Amino acid sequence: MASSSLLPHSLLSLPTASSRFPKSSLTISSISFSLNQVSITRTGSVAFQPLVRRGRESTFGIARAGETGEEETPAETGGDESATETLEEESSVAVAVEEKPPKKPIVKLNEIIGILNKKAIEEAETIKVVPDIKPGDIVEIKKEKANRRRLALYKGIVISKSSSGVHTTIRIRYMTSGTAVEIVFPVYSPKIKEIKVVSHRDVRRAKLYYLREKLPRFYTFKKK
Amino acid sequence: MGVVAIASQGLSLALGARLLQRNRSNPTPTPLPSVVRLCSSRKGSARRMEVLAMASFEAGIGVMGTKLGMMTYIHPEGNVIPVTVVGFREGNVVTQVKTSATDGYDAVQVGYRRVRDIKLTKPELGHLQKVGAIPMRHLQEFRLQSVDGFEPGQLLDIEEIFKEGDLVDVSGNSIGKGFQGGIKRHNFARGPMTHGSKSHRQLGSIGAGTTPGRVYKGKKMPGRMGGVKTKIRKLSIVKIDTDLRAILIKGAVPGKPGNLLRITPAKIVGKNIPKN
Repeated sequence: MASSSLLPHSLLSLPTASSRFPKSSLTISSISFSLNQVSITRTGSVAFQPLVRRGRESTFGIARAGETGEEETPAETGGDESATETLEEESSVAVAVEEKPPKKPIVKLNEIIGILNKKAIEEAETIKVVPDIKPGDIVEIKKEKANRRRLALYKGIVISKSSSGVHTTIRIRYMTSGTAVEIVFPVYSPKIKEIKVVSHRDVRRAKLYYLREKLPRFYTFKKK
Repeated sequence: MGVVAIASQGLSLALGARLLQRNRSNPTPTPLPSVVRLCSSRKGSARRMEVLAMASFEAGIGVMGTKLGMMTYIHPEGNVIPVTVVGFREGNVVTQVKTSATDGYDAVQVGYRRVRDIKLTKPELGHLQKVGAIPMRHLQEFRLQSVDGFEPGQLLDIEEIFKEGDLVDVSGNSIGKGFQGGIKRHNFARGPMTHGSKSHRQLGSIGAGTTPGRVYKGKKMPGRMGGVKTKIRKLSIVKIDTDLRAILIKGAVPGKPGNLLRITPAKIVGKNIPKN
């Protein structure tokens, strides 16, 4: 949408350019203002919005070190130098416009825990692939025991799933030798060697705690 | 003005009063140590404050950080450890080095958390510009036995001070709980809820009878709870992440996410508590 008729109206209330130039990190290369011709350039995933000055036609150039001309404007109208300027709201995205080594994106403090969780999950996925588990799934879990000799096998129905990053846990309920057992497994633990979804039972709940009051045949599964 | 804690061994009340007087006229940013001996010079004009080494030192230089939250760290062995993630804003710059010659004690003053310069007063800004540091919100001192190796303007690097497996003391403002009663504040026991009891959450008895005929000072009673500086000792550092500039500390630390923390090497008796 680069219609020049629309944009002047929408940009009337924008503040002046002088107050919006960032002090330390300049992301603009060269700016020129033309009255009737407004062009929006798109480079990669970053959109630039031009600043339109009514009644003024001036060329305002801020040269960046090592930058040559119009290497960033593929979609230009006419022969004018296009006006490109980034608005100064959120510029944590690295601007890969010029031929500079890409700047490391600034990591906000509140994103750090999310990043740490993602990294830990990626590391855990290298040990085993974790399938998509929902309550009502009947799963088989192979877990390493303390003596590390054999793998213990657990087969039961998932009655709840608690998602919290790398500490996502599932609660398995099954019946063994006349005793009902519920076990909580941290899905991304390295001690769990395999999780396989065997079948699925249609349920209309996220947490199947009602199975505790039901007959044992609803949570008894034959291990092959 | 810091509160002067007067050591209980052998200081008279008169000396204590004189200490308070002198403190008012000559305020220092950190609380004065336990005992300050005032010696009057024989020449009569200059009074020198000689600080006796009875106050508490840090076991090593520390840093300031921000509590970001808690998560789980899964050890490669399979242990699942609850950890607190501590992030670091722009800061941890040495702003002043105090020595016994100039200030009467040895300490390193460290700044933390960059702010816009309009948020600081001119005296604060001037203090930081003197060492060429960025405008910082918080300034804290770490009192050490020796301040060699610290220059004003020096950036403190977390990886050099701490490594994985180190024990640290973390202090910060705890979560404020407001005005709380005896049960929550002092772990008192409730009265019976039934059987005709009329006292459920009250304090019960607060003293004996005619003798002494008063309530002792310090009697545990309802009052404001939390929101004070709390130190958790001997927490181990599980992991140091260099690109994210964060450390994982086992266990919980005071405050909510966003809280300012002061992380220092743990002071363990027999190991690194500096002797006088």
